[in-house]
Amino acid sequence: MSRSLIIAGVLFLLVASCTKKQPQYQLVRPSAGDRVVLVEEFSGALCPNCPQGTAELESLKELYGDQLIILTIHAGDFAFKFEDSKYDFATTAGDELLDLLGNPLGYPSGVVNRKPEGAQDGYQQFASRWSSSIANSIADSATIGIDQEISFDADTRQLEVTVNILPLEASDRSLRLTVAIKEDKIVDPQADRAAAGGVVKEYVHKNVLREVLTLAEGDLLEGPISAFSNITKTYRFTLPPEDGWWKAQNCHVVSFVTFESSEDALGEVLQATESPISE
Amino acid sequence: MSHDLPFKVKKSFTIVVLLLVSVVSSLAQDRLTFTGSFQGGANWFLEDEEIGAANTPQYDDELVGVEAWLDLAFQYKGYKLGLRGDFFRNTNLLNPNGAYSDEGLGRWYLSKTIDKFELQAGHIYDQIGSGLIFRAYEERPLLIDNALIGGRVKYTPWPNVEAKIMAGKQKNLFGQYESLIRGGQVEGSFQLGKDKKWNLIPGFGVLNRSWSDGQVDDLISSLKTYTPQDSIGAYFHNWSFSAYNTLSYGPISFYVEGAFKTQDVYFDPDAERALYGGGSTLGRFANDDGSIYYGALTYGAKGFSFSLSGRRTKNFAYRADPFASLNRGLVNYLPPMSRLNSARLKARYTPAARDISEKALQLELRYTFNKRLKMVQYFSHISELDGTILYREFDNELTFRKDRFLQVSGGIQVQNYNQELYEGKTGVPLIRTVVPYFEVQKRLKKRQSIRIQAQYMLSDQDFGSWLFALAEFNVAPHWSFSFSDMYNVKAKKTDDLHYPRADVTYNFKTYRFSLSYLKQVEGVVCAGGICRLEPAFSGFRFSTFSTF
Repeated sequence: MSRSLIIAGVLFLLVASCTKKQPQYQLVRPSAGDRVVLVEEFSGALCPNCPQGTAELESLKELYGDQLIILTIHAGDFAFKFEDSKYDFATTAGDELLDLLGNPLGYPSGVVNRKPEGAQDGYQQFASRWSSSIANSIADSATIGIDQEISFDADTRQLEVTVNILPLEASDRSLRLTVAIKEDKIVDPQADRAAAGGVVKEYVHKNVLREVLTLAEGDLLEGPISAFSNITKTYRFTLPPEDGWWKAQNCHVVSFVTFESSEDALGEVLQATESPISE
Repeated sequence: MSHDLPFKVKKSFTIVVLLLVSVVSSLAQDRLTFTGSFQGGANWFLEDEEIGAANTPQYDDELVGVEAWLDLAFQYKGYKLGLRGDFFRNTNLLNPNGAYSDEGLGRWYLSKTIDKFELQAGHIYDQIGSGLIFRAYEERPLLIDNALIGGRVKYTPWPNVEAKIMAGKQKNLFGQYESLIRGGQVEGSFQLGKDKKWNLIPGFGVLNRSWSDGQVDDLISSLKTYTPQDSIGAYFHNWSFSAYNTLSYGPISFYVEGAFKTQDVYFDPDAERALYGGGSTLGRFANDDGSIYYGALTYGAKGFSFSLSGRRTKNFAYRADPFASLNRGLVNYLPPMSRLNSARLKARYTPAARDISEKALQLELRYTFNKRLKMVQYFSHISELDGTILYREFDNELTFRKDRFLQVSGGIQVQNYNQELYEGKTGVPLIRTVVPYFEVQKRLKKRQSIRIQAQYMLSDQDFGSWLFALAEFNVAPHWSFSFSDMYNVKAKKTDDLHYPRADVTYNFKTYRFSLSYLKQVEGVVCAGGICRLEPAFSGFRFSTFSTF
């Protein structure tokens, strides 16, 4: 009898325990942080209106801080040297980016996060539109996290960039990663319609695209993409010797992830990051 | 911002046309009338780096750009139906440095006249007054198509009075701008005096443009980044008004129009704007009312005629989208206040109308001394409201007609052209040109004629001096052959290059075909703070036009 009671008691306890609610909890997941917006600004040393565009972007940078990354690409109709220019800012990668993003109707022109919204034709937008498009893009939530680790040897000028990408959502689409180097504080002549004589001889160029370490359209990260599955890529590059430019302390690495472009549309920039090469 | 038509709508154009053709056949016995026209053009791009004809998609990859318009119009028992198919493949009309491809239904309309009313829906081309506050028009060489997509009602209560109201959205390629445009006009025609020699054609028009929520949101996104001292208000609605009148008496005709625009946010490329980081930049949205005053006096009598016109424009940039620039989204139309020269060198520096600050005066005097000798004198003076010279032209041309076989004309044109302001090239001097020109037209024998033209542009600015010569041989009524060359005599920017051109034109009934080989000099054009390079062209150009 007592054995029966014990067995019944154990069964009761087991059944009773089965009716207890399973505890619920939320996984702590990494955040992609704030949405960072990339503006690919097309400019040229001979473009008299371009300093106005640059000033507009600099003003917006004051407002948005790290949430805005500016990459100034010297390519197109005005990307030529003055007779007394020391540097030629045009690059092969810049020309390839212009081919990728399309010739603008005029200069200055810029592409905001590679979104067609507000563009005159294709993806290029005139300066009057940038602040509106940037504000709209910043309001988007980030679906990908990206950070980069920079290692730079000042003696050998060897640069190593390790980019970590963390998708927060699964996707069937492939991604592309672009890693570029830009440089500030390059002093060289620049056409400027607001300047006496039309040219500023010692104009301080900022955010100038110097090199792209990946393909110009970005290296392919083939889909499908799994959520929370980290992707790491490493790139190495030796900075050319300093000759008034290529100063490591003025250089930054910009990395950004886009969707793979389709036949009809460019892949939108999903997230971007920027880090100095040398503090 | 535009909304593209659904893909199926574009593709269904062919089906619609086929259906209509079958309808035409079945209704032919009911006096259905059918008319149409076809215009097409093709450019074959041949790279020439020496003149700068290179580095566009057409030179690099595409090689050929094509554009075509097919217009069809049907009338049946008071109904009118119009359809237009537009086709663009790698054309550089939209962006001289880009390749634009698309196709679809470019225009449709249906209209019906009922008693004193005419009702129309679809794509509408129309204007109020002379177009100072509103003009919906098409300019194919620049790919401007500002049709109003909406409806219009015209009412003619008496034969000499017409009123119309219309509403819609402005066309933007195959889409449309979001803003809503509504307007109306009343116009009359009256003869006064005992002998009714006084004619009056007065009119009044009004227009309302309402921006969409999206447009205002985008605008506010920009305006809120301005410093407090540059902050301006934003509005959904804008109103503009125009009053005009033509008064004619005998050989004299006098047209006057005044247009006023209420406060409106527009982009002023020359306005200074403070930056948060310190300093300032040029270009910001402004919020002002605007005005235009225009007058034109003409007099025509035997032996002498003249036309005098003047215009004052202040803050009248008027767009269907606050971010539209260059020639996109223009609600109104301001014609240039200089005459359109057809001669190549005389037309090299042509001033565009400026919509924010301009005052202009032009005068043309025509003398007919006798049956053989005529003279035309032309003056134009355009400046900003603060007096800064924009453009000046003087031209004096004599034409001597020896007999019906030989005509000789020649003259001299003097120009001042503010390249800095028209083309945004800072620091360049005012361009001063002197262009002597000469032309002979001679009939050789029955149906054959020849035209020889020579021009020389003397200038120390920009590209320097030019020499242009043209020879044209016509065999009426079908053929025309011409060859010309433009040569940079004292080249200041490039080597002393030649820019040859050869044309063959064939006309047959209502068909016209033209094939050209040409090299065309490049030029930078900046407007509204935006620079645009009209690149040099090298290659073949084919065009055709026909009506049926």
